[in-house]
Amino acid sequence: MQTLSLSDHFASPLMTTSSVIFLAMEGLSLLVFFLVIFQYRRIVLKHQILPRAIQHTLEKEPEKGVTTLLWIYVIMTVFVIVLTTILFWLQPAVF
Amino acid sequence: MPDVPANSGEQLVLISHESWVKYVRLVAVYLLLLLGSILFFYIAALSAFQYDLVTQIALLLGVFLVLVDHHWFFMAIMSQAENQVIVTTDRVIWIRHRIFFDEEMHEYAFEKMKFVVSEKKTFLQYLFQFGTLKFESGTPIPYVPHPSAVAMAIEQAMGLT
Repeated sequence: MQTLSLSDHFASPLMTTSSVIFLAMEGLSLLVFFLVIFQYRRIVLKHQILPRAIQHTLEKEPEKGVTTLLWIYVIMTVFVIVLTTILFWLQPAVF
Repeated sequence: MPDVPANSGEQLVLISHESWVKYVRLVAVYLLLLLGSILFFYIAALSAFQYDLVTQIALLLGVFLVLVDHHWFFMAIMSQAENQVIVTTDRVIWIRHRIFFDEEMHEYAFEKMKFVVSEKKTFLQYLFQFGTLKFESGTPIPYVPHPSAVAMAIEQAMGLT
């Protein structure tokens, strides 16, 4: 089955525009991903110290900023980025 | 962070997360948007090998929808997973989050409260054991798992039982 080479993605103004938009979307997606992780970890860490802020006698628990949900998000993001890249970059081959 | 004076003697009674039922609607919207993106990929597939405008627009829309759907879904899930209802000997604290948008903390002080009501009105609320906590004033707290037990814990903390 025929596949697109790298040069095919920049062979015409349409393909170039399309490729640039695709790369911009993926870049923006990665930026959002890191911002969400940063914000979520901040919330998780804040919630871990919250019970101790209320009841001072509670023992300090070890900080755990990475949760199962965060791991699922990381794995799913990698999966989505790889999948969309395959679909876009090898477009005729996969269809 | 709640403002607690040192040695106030306040004790934690319970910490409850909201019921998993609230995720059902999110999953439904997620799947719907995913179907939309699959539709765009299908349109792109129909016009493949032609490299025309339709293929490229459909592919880009499909990718855009997948990415937006993915990040929106996880942002919503992770925000709501951190929502908490904290009952102490002095008050009830309800914390809500929406990553990047807002963070609310509602406090219901026992000295200003006379009663607490737990409500389970619908069939689904009975089936999945969740409901709403209502106080004399302030916003009701929805999606509380086992609301009667939580209301009882609050009443005990208030010294009503």
